[in-house]
Amino acid sequence: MTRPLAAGRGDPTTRRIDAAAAVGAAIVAIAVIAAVLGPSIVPYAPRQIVGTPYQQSNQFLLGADVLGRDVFSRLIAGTRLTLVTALGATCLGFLLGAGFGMIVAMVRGFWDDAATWLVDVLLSFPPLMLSLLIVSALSSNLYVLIATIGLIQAPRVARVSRTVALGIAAMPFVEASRARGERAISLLWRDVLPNCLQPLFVEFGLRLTYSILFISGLSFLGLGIQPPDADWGSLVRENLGALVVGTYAAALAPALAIAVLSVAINLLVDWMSRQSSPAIPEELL
Amino acid sequence: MTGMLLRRLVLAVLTLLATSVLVFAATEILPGDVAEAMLGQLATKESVEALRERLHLDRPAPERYARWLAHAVEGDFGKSLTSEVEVSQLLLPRLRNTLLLALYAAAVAVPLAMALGLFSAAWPYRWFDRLVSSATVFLVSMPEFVIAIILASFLAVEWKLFPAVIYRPQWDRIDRALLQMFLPMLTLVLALLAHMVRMTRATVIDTLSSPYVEMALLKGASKRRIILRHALPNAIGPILSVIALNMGYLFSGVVIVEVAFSYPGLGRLLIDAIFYRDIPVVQATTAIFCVAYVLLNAFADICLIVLNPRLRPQAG
Repeated sequence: MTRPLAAGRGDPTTRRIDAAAAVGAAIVAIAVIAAVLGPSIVPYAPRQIVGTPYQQSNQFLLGADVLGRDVFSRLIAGTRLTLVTALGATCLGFLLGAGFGMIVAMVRGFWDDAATWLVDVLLSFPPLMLSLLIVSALSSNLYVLIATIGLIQAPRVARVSRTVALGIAAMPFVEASRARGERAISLLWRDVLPNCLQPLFVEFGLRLTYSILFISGLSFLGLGIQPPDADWGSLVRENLGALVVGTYAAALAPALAIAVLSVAINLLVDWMSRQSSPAIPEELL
Repeated sequence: MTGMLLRRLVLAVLTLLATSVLVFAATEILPGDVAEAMLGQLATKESVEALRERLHLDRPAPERYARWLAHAVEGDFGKSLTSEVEVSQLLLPRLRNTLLLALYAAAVAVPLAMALGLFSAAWPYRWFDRLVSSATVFLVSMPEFVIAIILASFLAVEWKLFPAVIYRPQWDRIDRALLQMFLPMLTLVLALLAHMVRMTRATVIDTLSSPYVEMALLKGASKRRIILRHALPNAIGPILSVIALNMGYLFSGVVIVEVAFSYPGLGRLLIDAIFYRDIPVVQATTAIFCVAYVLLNAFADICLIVLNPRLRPQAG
């Protein structure tokens, strides 16, 4: 699976959206529309056999698959599964990871050390093997997939949120609140969290890309979304045979869809990370 | 330094232990037990019981875990459920294929990434650097199977330069084998390259901005000499660490690449075993992948600690 790299920072004063970010936003918008409308805008029913195996004709934009189903319709219909799984997993990872990371950053001391060790151990597992073990033990369905990928994301999110929260918690205005006698929960909720939002949002984008790539990879291996449902990764798998027959559009199109969407999200994230947040010193971003 | 080193080693041992528990536990809760799976649906209750006893399945889980671990450490993972062959016999040719593919990819990716990273760092923000860095932004967003499909579509299907499936590598003819394995190799190289180039570039640029490089510059040393004699040796720790990290990463990428090109390696053995619920094979292959990953990650961190001049014990 591909790991997102830390995005570079440019001039923090530019607030206007640049061309790359606009392209990214447009692609993400198209994907969201396809995910929402999904099955209602496709030319053929995604599960219905409408042609002969690997049939190439003008009536099928990307040809037919091995069973004679329209690949284009399955691709559009698959958008929803890909996005829902990735979004669900990323949200779960953030609920677990960000909460955990910020709380231990506030508590410090023993619990912080213990948590750092736990996160280190969790991070030393190869993520693909971890998910293969869980998915093969529990059999693959949407909830298991979301839970598995969410669990893989959680320690990564925890590490980032802890670092960001540690930086904020040491700032004078938090010290002031603490000196005023505010309770820990109020410090966390009213002082630290609002100032963590921008870097966490950037991290959310990176994690979302990672989730999309991860679920697609699992589906490609046949251990993600199970047939007859299909997300983009399973579509690549289903149509691998097309390569052997000598046509490639059916396998290439879903693969490109995954690549284009993840590049688009990365472009947006890149732009977002260049927006400075007033309270946070540059080096924490 | 010794403290950090110890801490990292303890972490590696802990992770290895946790891995073994996880591998054992996950395959434990697979639906149905091994005895039933081995004997099939027509087995009588008595024969299942007898086999359970023979396989020690009637013993409590911690005892079975200890027994399994003791055997696994010696390379004995029991017999495959689908082919009745010793798992270790099944593993060896597959492991060799995977290692050769990984080696092939590493032999191309590491020098290439170092060269690209060094050239980018030598002239930062010039056209070459910009070209390389925009290429890496795109590559980093692409998972292995997407790269694999794109390469296979054009290089194998459209232009018919290389085979898109490798059922059996022809090891007796090394030139043919290298040609056969070209697409899986290229896929892995492209998947690895982006991260390695960016890290090499960042590390070298970082060392180039340090005072001793400025000193060398003021003494009138040439750019070539500064990069090769001053910056590179000091950047070698972080770069080695990046290489080790990426080799660990290569080990999970290889699973997907092997499936994409039907390459008979350890990764495809693992995926097939999961489908056939061949538990001993799943345990053995995941154990190998996990151990390799954990060790390479530990090695990466140890490189950083040992080769960092700032952490060296002070002399005198």
